[in-house]
Amino acid sequence: MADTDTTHKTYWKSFRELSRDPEVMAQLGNEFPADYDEPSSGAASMTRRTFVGLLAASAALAATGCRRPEQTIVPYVRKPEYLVPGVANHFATAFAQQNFATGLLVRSREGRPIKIEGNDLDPICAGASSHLAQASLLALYDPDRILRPTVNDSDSTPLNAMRRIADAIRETAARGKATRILVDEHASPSLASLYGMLGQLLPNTKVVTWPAITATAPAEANRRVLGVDAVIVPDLALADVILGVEADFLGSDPEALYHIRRFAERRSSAKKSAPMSRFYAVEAAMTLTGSNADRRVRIRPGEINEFLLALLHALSTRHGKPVDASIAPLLRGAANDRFPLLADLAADLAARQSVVMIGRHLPYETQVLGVLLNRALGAYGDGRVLDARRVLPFSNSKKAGIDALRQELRRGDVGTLIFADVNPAYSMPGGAFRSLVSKVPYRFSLSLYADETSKLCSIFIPINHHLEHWGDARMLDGAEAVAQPLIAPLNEGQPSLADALMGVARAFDSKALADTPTWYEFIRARWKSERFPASGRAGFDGFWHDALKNGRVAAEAPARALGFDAAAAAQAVRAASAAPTRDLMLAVLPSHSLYDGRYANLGWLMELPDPVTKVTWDNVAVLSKATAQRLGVKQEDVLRISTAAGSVELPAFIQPGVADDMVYTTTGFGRSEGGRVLDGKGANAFALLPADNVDSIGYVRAHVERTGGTMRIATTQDHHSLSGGELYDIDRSDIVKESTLAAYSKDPSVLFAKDLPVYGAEKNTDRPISVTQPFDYSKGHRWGMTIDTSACVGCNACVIACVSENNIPMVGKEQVLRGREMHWIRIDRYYAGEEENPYTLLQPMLCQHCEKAPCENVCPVAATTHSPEGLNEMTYNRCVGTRYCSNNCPYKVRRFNYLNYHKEDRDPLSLVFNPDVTVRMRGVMEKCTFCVQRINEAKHHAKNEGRDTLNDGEVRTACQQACPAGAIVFGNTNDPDSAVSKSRSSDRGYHVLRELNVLPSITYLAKIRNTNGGPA
Amino acid sequence: MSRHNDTHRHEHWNIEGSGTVTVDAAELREPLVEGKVSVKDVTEQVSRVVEGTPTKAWYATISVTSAIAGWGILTILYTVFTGIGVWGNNQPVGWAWDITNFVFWIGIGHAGTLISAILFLFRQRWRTAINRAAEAMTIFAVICALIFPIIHTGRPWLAVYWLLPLPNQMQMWVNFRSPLLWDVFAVSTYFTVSLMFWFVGLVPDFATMRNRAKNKLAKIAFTFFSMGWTGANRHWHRYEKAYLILAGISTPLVLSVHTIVSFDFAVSVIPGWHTTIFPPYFVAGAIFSGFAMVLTLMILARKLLNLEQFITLKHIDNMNKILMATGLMVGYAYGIEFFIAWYSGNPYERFVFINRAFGPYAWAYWTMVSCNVFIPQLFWFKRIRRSLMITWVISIFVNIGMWFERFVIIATSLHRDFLPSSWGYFTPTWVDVSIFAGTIGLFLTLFLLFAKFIPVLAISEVKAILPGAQPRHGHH
Repeated sequence: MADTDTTHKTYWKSFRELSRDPEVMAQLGNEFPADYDEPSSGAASMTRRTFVGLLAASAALAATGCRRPEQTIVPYVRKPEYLVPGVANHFATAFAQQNFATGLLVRSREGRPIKIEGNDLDPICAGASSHLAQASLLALYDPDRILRPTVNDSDSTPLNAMRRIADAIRETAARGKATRILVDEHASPSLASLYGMLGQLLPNTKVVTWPAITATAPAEANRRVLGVDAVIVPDLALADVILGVEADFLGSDPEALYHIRRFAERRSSAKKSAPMSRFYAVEAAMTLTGSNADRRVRIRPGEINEFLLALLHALSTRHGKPVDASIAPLLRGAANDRFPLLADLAADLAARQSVVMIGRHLPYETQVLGVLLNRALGAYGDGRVLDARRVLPFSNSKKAGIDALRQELRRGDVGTLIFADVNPAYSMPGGAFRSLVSKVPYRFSLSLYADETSKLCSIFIPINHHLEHWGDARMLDGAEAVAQPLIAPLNEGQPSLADALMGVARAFDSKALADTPTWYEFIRARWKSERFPASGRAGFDGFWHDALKNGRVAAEAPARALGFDAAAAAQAVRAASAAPTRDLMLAVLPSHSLYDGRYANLGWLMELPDPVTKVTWDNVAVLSKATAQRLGVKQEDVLRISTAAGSVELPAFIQPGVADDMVYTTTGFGRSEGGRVLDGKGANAFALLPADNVDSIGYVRAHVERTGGTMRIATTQDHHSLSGGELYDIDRSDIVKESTLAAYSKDPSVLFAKDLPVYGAEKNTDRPISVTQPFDYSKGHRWGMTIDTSACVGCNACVIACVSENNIPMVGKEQVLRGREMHWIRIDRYYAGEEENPYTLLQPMLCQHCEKAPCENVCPVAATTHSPEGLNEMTYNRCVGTRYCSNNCPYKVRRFNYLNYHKEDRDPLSLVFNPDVTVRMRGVMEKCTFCVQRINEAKHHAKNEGRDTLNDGEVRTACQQACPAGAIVFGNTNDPDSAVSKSRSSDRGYHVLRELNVLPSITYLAKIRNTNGGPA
Repeated sequence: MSRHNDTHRHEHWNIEGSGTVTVDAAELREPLVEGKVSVKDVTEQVSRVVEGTPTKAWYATISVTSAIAGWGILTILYTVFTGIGVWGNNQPVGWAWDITNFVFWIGIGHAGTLISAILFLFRQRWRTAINRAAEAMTIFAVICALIFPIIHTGRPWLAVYWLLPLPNQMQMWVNFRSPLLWDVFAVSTYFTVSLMFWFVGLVPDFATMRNRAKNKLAKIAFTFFSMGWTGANRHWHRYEKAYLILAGISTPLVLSVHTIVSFDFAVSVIPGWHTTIFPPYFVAGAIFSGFAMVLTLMILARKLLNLEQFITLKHIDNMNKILMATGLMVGYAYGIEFFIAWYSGNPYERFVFINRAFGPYAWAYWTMVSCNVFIPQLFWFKRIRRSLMITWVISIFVNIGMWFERFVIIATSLHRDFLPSSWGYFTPTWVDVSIFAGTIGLFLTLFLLFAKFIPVLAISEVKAILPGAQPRHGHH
């Protein structure tokens, strides 16, 4: 009897089971209910081949050595060869913001990526990285990322969701409707290849590139006039004279990193080999790029075409720069003497190698004028500024595809829409999204966050981060980069975008993509067939390994023959000659920090001050003082901006340098779904643009009125010009120094003419008298830094680098309003000259590591002390937080943890911290350390190699490393041959507030403007 | 027993007085105690307050003040548990109300020491009517002041002992170069000496109270605090010596404490702080504010405790003269700061002072100047000096003005210093206000407790200045 057998009892779960109910018995065999991942028909999804394929892929992943190993809480029994606890690994990968890709070198600790840096081997970035690339690290650990896919608002699995999508596509095709997959602009040849294949694998399916912000107008102008359907990227290092027409190539353009680097090559007056270029800006909005201009012309947006036509006329008639015979007659009457700088500009442009850059938000006609000007100036050609081999990959005009899709949507021809990492519900101009997609029965979203679009979709598959999946990218110079993952998906099993799309294809047809069942294999296969043969290498594995190691494989970009379609150009010139509008114009421009809103949930970027307005956490309606007065608007008044497409409310921000009768604002704000950081910050400027605006940026006629309300704007720097405003005009030439190239070339000492006396010091380099004994730094290292204000363009890359490296907390809008932002390095901005169109001076300001630091002697507990190597060190453990040091700091670079700013951090955000840097608690003072952890790390390496001193360049501070302009040089000043020693001896070198005799370790190099006779 | 005390008192004055008084100007002067008051009356009148049951008014007042003090303590706890971020302090204004309040309270304390020590050494016998209360005020003000250096730190749980040079196994010492550390020494010394001075002066009166006490608890307490005082000749002798020595020690402290407090600012590099005039300027200001607070309180106490006979208009007049004198010194300092800012040719210094008078904080600056310089000029008129009401109102103005002086020095110098990029503005939060109000509540509560439980006048000393108390009257 079984029941009486005490060792072999029959256990039962319920009476029904005990009674052997047939229904229950059937379920007992099928332990997992219907929706479970395992295929019900077994063979369909997991064939022998896919199993072996997966096995091979896993083995290959393990072999590349970039995945996080399986970890348990005991120490490694068999330690991975490459992984030494406490020692960082660096892996090359790539980052692409739309179609501009740069190589990255990601620093990883114990399998955890902690810092994004530029890849030194990539000539596009040359080791620098943009603020956006660096901040993308934060998205990896964003606690607002969704763990599981949702199907009809309930949790599901990726496989199930993919199968449902495949079913929908099948049904859509059966009904004779179309499936459209909307994707972002990208730089990946493999993605392009996959997208092409999806159109064949899935019935009635097309992949449509529908980015939020794009540069269709310049591509369109190149396509129609030059016959090259791409955005040609100039090499500014080759240009002697640059004219930027509201072109924000140093600011919000995706390829700004490259431009800053090449622009800065020619901005340091020291180099004889590369004489300083001259940069004119003609603009209505005050862009970061414009604020770096040697001469800036403030112009109404309606006058831009007029200006360019007049310039073209002047070049062709007065300077022998011929335009096409069909264009010349159209320029009659374009002569214009309303623009005072125009004659100088024309002469200057004509005399040397020049280039004209047109802002990508400006309309097609303006872009064509740019093409004509560049043709007249001879900028196009191999080896010239505008070399047609150097194009943004996949930057062809998207207009036709987008227009076609719009038509299809309106007609109701589309049955399934898949949003592949695009968020048109937020970013579509005119807020036309809902009405446009309302007729589409199936809407699915694949996205990093559960964003606005995902909320309108029945299936949402969260995809993984760019550091969690494979990828590749074509670079500006034709090279290709492999983007390898740094870590297995934090949410185990979370697919990449490509994997998810491939999963859909395979769920539709199990035999689809059978050769390359994973995205990794897909990329490898493409590289093997497309890139490997040209390499001349013997084995693919070796080639692939080197590609992973270096992050890129160089290749020649294809040459493109430039044609000229005079008829298209003439048509555009005619359109551009239309009478300019006098209406109030609104410009919607990409945000420098959030771009099109994709970075809106990253606190690092939300709190990053806009480089021009210094506003954080909001977008604002920027307008000139005269316009504000005309409209009766004061700073922080809430304005209702209405266009034909819609209206938004934004606080007014009065900004010097902005043209009259215009308002501009930035995109990326006003998001409502996807995370807790982005919620309720600013207003959605896309809503103001007309629905037919393909680029999602540009000008539109607008009406502005006060709502009567006010809103506080959190700026990190108040609106003070250098002189101290209306109170008292004082000379502050010992804070920032500048001169014109002409004056400086004649006599460099002109920079120091107005210095305050420092007793005992004869020359700028002499040490003033002091009552205290100087430190003895003669042995070992003596750390110092130089910052070249001529090179710095204020791009904020250093600020984010510092935040990421040093675990700097974000404090939120309320705290910024209280003046408690924590950034260790800030870009101080000063204006000089006339109020309507001032000169801007930018000065990165961080702890000066003074030899006689005023902070050190006032600390009662000796928490801030001097190191024998000249560092001003902060001992957080010892600090009790009297804030006396901060009060006594003439540079105000110390930051106090007024509250526990890490209190709100949710898991897994703590993984982003650099383990080499203490996370400071509340009540503690902090400040720049000159990246002392990097110095110590380098010293450890040197010691292992038996060296006492570090080689020049062995330590780079985070800010220095990120700086695309190369404006920051750091090193050992005891070594006379070090880069920093040479840089310090520049005749432009000065110490800020030298008369205080605190002897800073940072030497600034004065800003030189190549003004061409303009006001100094 | 009290009689016993009194007899010895006469003997004592014989010894002390015989060699010193040559010209008796006292007869030409106003009497220091008005009316016919016997020695017994003094004891009775002062002791009555201590021995009687508290009045309803006393209960009402102390319940209000202690409620405010309690609220202040709650907000201090809130600050400690949340962070300094609940205040308005920011970058660049690292110190604002916290250190303003600290300097303000320390300043208040100064009158007590000045009255008890310096006026004692200068034989200003009119001080005896007010010295006890003024000393008590010093103690309480310093207690209020001491709260701020501790709670203004980010991590007060460490600051309370890391600021002291305690030997430790890490050999981690305090930074002796920091003026903040000098502050710790100066203020703690000041507090200790003031407390001892006050206590020593109280011993004979505690003995009197002990002898009169009927309540057992009071008897035990007064017995303990009177330290076995019997009024013996030897006791009086030691007492007088100790008192004289403590007065001698206290006198330099009057100058040193505020000098060192001023070093917090003067030793820095910040324009508006980095000023050599600060030590004398701060000392004058401290005495100014201290006398104002003594007046504010004494005019009230005089009325409420029926001490009109002891605290006479002569006292008020004298104190008003000191108030005006120190007010003028402070006014001179305000002026000379501007002169030096101009004369130095330093653009940052010039900017700070122009910004002070005409910048965003001009309202605070002109409040300060009006209260401290303009309004006290009314004391040129004797009638105003002797008007209790007007004096009281002016003393309140001076209190306000002197608080603003510290605020102006601390906050307006910090809010716009060298780099215009870092300029900011300070706005207090409700917590700032609550904590300051809380210290006022604490101060008043302590003062009310003092007024009830401790003789508000130095009984033994007042007896010595009664008309006819001095034996020499008989000889002339």
